[in-house]
Amino acid sequence: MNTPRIPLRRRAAFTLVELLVVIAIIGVLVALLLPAVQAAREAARRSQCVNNLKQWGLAMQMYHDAQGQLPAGATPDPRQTYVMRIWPYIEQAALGQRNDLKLHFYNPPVTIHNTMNGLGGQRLPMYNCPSDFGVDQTTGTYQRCRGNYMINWGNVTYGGTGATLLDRVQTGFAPFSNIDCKRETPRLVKFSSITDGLSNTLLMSEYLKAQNPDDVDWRGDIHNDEGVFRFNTIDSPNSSVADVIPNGWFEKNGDPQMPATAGAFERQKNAARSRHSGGVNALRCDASVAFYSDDVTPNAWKALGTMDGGEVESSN
Amino acid sequence: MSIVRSLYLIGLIAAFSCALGCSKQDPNRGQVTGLVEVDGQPAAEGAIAFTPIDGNSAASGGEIVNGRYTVAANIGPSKVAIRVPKTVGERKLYDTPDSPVRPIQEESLPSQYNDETTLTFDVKPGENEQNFSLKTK
Repeated sequence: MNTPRIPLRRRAAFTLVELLVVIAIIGVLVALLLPAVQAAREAARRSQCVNNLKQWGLAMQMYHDAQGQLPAGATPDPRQTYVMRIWPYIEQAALGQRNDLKLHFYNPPVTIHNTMNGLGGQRLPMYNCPSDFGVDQTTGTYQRCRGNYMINWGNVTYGGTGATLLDRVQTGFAPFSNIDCKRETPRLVKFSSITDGLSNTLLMSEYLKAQNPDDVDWRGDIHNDEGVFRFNTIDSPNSSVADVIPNGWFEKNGDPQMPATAGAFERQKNAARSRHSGGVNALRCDASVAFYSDDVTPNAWKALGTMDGGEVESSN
Repeated sequence: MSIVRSLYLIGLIAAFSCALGCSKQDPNRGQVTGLVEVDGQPAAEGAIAFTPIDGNSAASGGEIVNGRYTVAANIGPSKVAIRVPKTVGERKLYDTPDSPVRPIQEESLPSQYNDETTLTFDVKPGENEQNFSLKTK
């Protein structure tokens, strides 16, 4: 005898395959979207970086208006850099007033030992490119902020009297340099002596900060006249050629974007470097900011580095 | 189940095409490898750079590790700059008695090998091999 079949009520549910397909489709969509989101985030960081450089450019213009010349890049006695001189022109009048341009940067008021309370320890957003993940000097005796924005030192190595006019395909100097390569005599430049044209001469660009919070890596130590506060146009942006930095002032961090080797004090050079893919932002003397590709012609980049070289080379 | 298998296949194809895309080489560059010796000994560490003489294509650099280097350099006649640091002493980080001590390194090679280099090499497409035997004096 057959018992009448009771129809099983099928529960409404998804099969495993249906679920897998849905998850796979969502996965593909996310995979498509994620690079776009990351690219948009990086684009936002890059425009923030452009904005920071623009602020530096306006500050330099105002300094020139007020003082009739650009600030000295760095002075060895007292040991200070352009950063302290720019403070009054970036709405940091308080920092500017509390600073004493006759005192070394490594003592109060700029560096208050074992603390970040010195003037150099005050974090200003315009010091930093949001794409870089380097850190401030926050441990040890000498604590200070690092910065990403460096002044243009052109085609001349930095250091003592032995500094050479390296790879001089161009004659001429950068807006920031030392007379006869002597640190005691920084070259004070007026816009009228930038004969290549303000829009054809770089004023500042980017560099990558050290990733060690100790006072052992001076890359990005923009308050320090012996730190890496300037960039050279000797090597192309983001060059794979190693920067030359005196040892003890940098530590190899294995970062392929920060190649460096120990060298003599008077042979220091460093390329413009950034975390933006494919190039660096750079500020020109007319306070305009442009993105320069890593593939910029080396001779054109060197020409951009000089203010009075008389080159006709185009950077495009 | 055919849907699962087709998904698996799509994944395989995607991985394969990625691998193909990544292996593409820049036709304007040649790979240069070799050994750098200083006074007959392999250079423990250092940096090497190939700078095209024409000034129109970018210089390329690489690290020297245990004497060996590998650089993907732009093709054409290039100047070669080599820097090999050597440890010459120690320095205190701070002027306090308990300061940590760090080694001091200096350039060991004369400037004829780096800043005013006389070394040249013609980078050809593909694989290149070039050894350098340098003297500190």
